Amino acid sequence: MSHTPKRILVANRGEIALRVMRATREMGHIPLAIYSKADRQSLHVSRAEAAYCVGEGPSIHSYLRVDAVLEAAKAMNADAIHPGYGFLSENAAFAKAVSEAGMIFIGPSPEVIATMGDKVSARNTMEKAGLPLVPGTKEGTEDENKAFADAKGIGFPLMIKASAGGGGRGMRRVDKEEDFLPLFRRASSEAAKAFGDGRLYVEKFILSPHHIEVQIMADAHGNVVHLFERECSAQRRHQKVIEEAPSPYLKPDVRKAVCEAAVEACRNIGYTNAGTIEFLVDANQNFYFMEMNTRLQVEHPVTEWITGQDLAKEQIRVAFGQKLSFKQEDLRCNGHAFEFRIYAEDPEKFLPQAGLLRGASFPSGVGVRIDSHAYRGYEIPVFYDPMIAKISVWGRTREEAIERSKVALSETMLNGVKTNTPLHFQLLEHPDFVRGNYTTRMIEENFTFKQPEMDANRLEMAAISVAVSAFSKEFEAAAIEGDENSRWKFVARQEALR
Amino acid sequence: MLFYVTHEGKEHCIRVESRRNRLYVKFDDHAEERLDIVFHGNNCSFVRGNNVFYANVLGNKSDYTVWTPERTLQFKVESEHKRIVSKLRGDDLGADNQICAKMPGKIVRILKKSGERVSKGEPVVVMEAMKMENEIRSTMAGTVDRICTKVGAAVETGELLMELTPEDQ
Repeated sequence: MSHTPKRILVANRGEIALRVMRATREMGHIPLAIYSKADRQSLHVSRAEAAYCVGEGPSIHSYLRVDAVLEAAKAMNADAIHPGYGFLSENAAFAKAVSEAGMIFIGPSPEVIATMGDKVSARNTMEKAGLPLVPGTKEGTEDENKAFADAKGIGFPLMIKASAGGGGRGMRRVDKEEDFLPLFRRASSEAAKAFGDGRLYVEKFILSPHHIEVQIMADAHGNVVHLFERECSAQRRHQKVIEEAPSPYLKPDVRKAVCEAAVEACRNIGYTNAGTIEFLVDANQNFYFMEMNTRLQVEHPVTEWITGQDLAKEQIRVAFGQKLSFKQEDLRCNGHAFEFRIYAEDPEKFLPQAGLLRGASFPSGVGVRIDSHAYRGYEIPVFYDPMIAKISVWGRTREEAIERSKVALSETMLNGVKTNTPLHFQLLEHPDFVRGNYTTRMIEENFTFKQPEMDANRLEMAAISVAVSAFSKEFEAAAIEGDENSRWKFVARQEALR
Repeated sequence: MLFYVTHEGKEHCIRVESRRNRLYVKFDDHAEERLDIVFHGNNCSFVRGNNVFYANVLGNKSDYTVWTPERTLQFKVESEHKRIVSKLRGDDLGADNQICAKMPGKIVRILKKSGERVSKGEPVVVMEAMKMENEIRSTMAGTVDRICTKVGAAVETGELLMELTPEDQ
């Protein structure tokens, strides 16, 4: 494939666009970018061979516009489109339109994307393909006696959920058998009021849930492999905060079973390209299918660390009809890796921050990887996800990876906006996290962010540095604006004149 | 040059001097010390005793933010000079509807007429004190209700100059 360079459009922005473009160049292909007017400054534009503006800042007017992306592809003579994650990556109509326009979509087939994009069809398909689902009734009912009989079969605690549901309405947790009927009646009338549909279904309540997902790669030649699992239980409001691979929680036999089940399911549905199957794992290490992501994940670097493989490159190979460059038996899980999503947000109030990045120093060293499109002077647009960097760290053991991560985080200074870096640092010291047994509820129920204490001596030094900076500004006021580095030269010159 | 640096309600008096191309600092009533501090843009590397302090120091007039590896710190900075000027201007006047003289002095100009609208921070009176002309600013948005002084008047500290009818929020 390396003989004919292909023109690959990355229909995304930010760090993932950069990530895919690196793989593209490495393979001898030509990376093409799209950008919104708000993203002109983003590094992914500068690193591309060609770039095309697809519209205004809000993604609905740019990155989500199928017509504009196809127009960009045509204008830049793209042979293939890589969708990255988010935006159009799981849009079956887009995948279809790309093929119909005579290009290759770097991802699975539009049919699979559509099936997995719908909760009900995804669950039905995966159940048929052999994956266990959270025990529960499939059909909603208003008949309390039928529901009660089902509930007793499932066991307590369980959840009552509205068939038409959403937003927590018509939803109840039932801990004891005798509470069931009164709670069912209340939930049913609530659902009827909220959605005009009083039907409810019951589902087993998973105590101490862990979010564990299996990375899959499959080619069009029938090769399906897993690249082990990742644990993403460190979440806040369903937003992943830290991911790690391998999971510190799974027992070896369960790991083997869950990975093999994922491979088998993908084989059964004829999956191709990169995909991730997400599971809920309970306190007894039972695993249940949650959903499948038919794209490259944000947290793929941890898998790349432990396997030494390049998932983006593999995606491109497979999309062009080549075989996977490795077989299952070639893959070894080596060491341990973490990924920290650095968000421009207030770590206490969790509010996103937009603004100018006045300083950007990233960590480096053995086993440290940065994926970021930000740099000093970069203005964080208000329209998109506030993630400005991913720091991923590898160590030979989990302990080593934790210590290395702390060093890396302490070297990370992204200034001008608040970031969640201090939150990561504190999570790394949380006893449940250190132990390697933490659930998806840890951050919300068992963790409070504390503004770290600063020792008096360092506080004094901070105050002095402020006074010195203010002092130098008094001189600078007279100097030519714009050159921040000239401050001391200017002071020195002034002094020399005395 | 003397600075008042405040962090979380605690104010420190920091005198920074530069003599023969060297920087010296006096922190509160500690002895004066020579500084070993280097700035590259906003990045500050500071060695004091043998302690290293590495941070990003960003200032916007009186508000400073210091990013250290462990946390972000907010500071308020005021130079001695600024503090005197703001005293003259009556910037720290209370939030009531009266504008008063904060220093003894002479009224040079009255910039607003009775019934005229003023916005918050807008200069309303020019006063001369300690040989400097200073604008006295309104602390609220409103309409001038009454002018209680005239051009050329010598006023004492706290003397009422103007009364406002505050604007409804």
